[in-house]
Amino acid sequence: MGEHKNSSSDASASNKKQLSRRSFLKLSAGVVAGTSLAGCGSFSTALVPANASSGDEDVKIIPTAGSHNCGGRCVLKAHVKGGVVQRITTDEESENEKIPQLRACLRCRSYRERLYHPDRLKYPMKRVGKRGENKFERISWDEATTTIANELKRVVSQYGPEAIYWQLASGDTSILAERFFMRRLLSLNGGCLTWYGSYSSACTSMATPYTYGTGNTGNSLDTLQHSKLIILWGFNPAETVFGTNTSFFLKKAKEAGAKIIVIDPRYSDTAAAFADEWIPNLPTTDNAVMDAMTYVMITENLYDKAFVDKYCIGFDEDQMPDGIPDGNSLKTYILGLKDGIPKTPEWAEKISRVPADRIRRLAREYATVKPAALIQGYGSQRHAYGEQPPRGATVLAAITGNVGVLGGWASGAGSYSRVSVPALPFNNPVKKMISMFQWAEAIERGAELTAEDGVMNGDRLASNVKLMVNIGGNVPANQHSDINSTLKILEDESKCEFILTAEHFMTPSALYSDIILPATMYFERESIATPWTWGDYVLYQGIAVDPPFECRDGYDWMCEVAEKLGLKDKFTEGRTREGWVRFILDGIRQKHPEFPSYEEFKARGVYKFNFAEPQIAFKAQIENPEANPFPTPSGKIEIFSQRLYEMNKPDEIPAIPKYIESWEGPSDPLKEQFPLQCFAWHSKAFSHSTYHNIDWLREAQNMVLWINTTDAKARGIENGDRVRVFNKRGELEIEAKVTTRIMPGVVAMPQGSWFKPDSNGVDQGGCINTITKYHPTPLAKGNPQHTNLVEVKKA
Amino acid sequence: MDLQPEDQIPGLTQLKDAFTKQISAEQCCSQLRHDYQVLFEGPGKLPAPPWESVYLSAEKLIFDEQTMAVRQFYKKHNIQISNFGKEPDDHIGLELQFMAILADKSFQLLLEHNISDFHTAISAQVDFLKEHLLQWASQFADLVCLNAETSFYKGLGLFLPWYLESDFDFLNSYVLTETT
Repeated sequence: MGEHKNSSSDASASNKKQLSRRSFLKLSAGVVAGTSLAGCGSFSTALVPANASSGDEDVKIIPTAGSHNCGGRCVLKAHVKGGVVQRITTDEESENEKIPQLRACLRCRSYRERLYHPDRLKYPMKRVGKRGENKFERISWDEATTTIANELKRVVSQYGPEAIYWQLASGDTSILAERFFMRRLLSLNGGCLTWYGSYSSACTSMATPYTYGTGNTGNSLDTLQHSKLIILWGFNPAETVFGTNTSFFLKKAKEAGAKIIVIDPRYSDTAAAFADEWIPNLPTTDNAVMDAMTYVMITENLYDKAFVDKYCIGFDEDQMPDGIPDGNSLKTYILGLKDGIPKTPEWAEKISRVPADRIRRLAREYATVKPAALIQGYGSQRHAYGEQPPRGATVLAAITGNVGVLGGWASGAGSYSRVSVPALPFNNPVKKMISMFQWAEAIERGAELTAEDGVMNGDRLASNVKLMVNIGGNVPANQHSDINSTLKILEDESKCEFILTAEHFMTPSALYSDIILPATMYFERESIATPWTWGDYVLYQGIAVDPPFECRDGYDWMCEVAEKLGLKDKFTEGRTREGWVRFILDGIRQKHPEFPSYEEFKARGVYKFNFAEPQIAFKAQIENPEANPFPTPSGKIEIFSQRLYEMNKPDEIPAIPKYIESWEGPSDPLKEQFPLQCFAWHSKAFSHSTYHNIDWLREAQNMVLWINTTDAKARGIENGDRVRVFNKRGELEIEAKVTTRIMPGVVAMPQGSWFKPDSNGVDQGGCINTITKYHPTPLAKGNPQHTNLVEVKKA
Repeated sequence: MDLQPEDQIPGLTQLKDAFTKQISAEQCCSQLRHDYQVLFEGPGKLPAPPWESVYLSAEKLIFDEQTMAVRQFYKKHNIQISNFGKEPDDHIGLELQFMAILADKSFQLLLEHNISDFHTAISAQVDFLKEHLLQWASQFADLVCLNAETSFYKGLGLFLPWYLESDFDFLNSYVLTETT
């Protein structure tokens, strides 16, 4: 330094000037570097003279809300300064035991990590290599919307509207999610093939109404404080966040003295936090345990005979509909009067591994401690015969008389709704639907699919699926079963000829697109969010910041597509996005005149309804059955369903709930080759595959395979080892967590990891769907994604 | 202080190569555009994210604390990003453009014989290099070199850190001279 100073201090003024000029030459090179790095004219941003309003304002707090497809819908507040979200807070309103705060969990509290992730999609792209090869070229929005409009026109005229499939996509579940605008647009363009069911709840949504006539079997959760016993069966709200405040109300129930039993092959965080007792059973064997509970209740005369006589049909041979031959009642089946197999606890122990005495005790407790709430999650029904657990549990709830009473619970799907929020209107001329699980088969052989296969509202489809829109979802190459087989269908450009995706990130599914559009997040567009399953509130999603780069609201670019299709006026009806928000709020006010004005709602960010009475499903039916029959064909709780009986597939679709031995269940001979049952749980750190790329959340929950210590020891696997999980459908690698928190014979991993095949096709991402099977369930045509046999070896 | 001979300046050989290859201007532009897109635009994981905060912030995000600091620096010189709030202010191209703007300004001041403001403008360049570009540009440039397909971007990746260091040494020597 000193030397430098001395030599410089001798320099003359003219020398200095010359040196400075040399530096300017270099600086000019810097300009070249800058503009060249910016590329051939594709970089239009530059520095300009500042204007007055460039970001020195105070922090503004803008309310929005989480609306990914997680079980929570929560208040978020963006603290914005200079057009940038600086931090995120959540509900700070006062709360009481009836109306708790709607506090966000770790997922949404880490939203800055998602909003400002450098990997976010920034520009519209078109595929230039083979589909799936990951070669894309940036295009203008105009080229993107022109291509989309042309493809929509071409496919409708060439194959008809049934060839256009509106894919299930749950990345945004708000009322004005982009995909709903897309359905509206497709409906105006001749229509599109849509779906029924969901990857979450296909079987219970389909099966529960066969018992009660409706899936709305849930109560408001403030009723749980009146339950003396709560059985959580395949239900893990502490991690899934199944309803924003389910854990809050379970804690209140526990404080009020309720005993809580958790039935789950895995000692979940819910079990750890709430359970007085944990009962693990093998996956797919829930109905064996239920059957044996019923056996105990019948043989020990513990069931509620008066309730059964008054409200049910099909319990015993005296209670059967006319014309049904003898031997089809529940009692006949349970006692084994026809098949010679009494469904004893000892019988169930062999199947489920739950000790017979434990089943007896559970049956006696549930039949005698009243009121009791047997609440099912969706885990048990995401199985090969997933229709049976909801049917079985609804029957247990009925024969114990826990239906329609305060502190009881009707079981089954368990949803309820007493706040009416309209959907974005659309009128799809195509009424036919397939199960949401069948889309890949519909690409392959849609025109061969019939009503028997699951086509609804029609005998068969007019065409294979030739164009798929996937607006905000990662179903195609990640959340759907059997990824390896599905990719072969997606790769073939002659099958599905055009795939459009709008996304935030380059997901495994986005990779299989022909056009990818960069979408906005909920901090960047206005919408309305409603609770998932439970809660009486509506959330406002305000605009906190501008969409970055060329990210663009779906409604905005769809208006452009609509214009190119000559449908703009019909599509928009003259409304901006805000106009649609106001339209929905007007719709709410028709049913709920107390709902606040747009301005008030926007300022507060939430409206919480205050109902005088708790909601109890079937209260009216129980209190006055003559005036209020159940919405079933018989008007009763249908233990025996004549509709199911008439389907005439008693082995797979029994008219009463039964344990059915499952393919890839504990008694499948395939077990010799693949001895472990493998399922997935909903991690607290992801919402399906959303958030999987967020580092903060990966620290909270990394991808691990839970394996019991005995199974691990037999395979020489130690905690932290990398292991291979495989069957005939595929292979993945993942870290092992050796633990007694999962029962022997069963392994499990969080679902939602991004599929990441290496050069040998082995998934290094730990995505469960590498090994899951495409095999629709018998009735719902649902997804049996928890029914899998695998082997595990040290990698 | 003399300019180094060209063959000793990192990256110049590659940059020259980029323009002496026997390919059409169209081909050349298309290759550069492709390289640029893969490196800096996506889709997907960017091999060389061009924003300062991705290298220096605790969470490796865009629009983070460094972005705001760069924005404040620009603002002191009455400059802002044209796309305010839509793109991060700390893009490598913008930071280099900022240096160029200050260099132009210095040159103008010198022509006007406004030595005191000239001195301030030079100091600002030193500070901006010290506080920002030199903190991250070499990491960025290494990633460009590692991931670029064209010799043009490889060359730029080699040239940039050398250039910034030389520029800093030069500007700093002026500042040190003036302060003695």
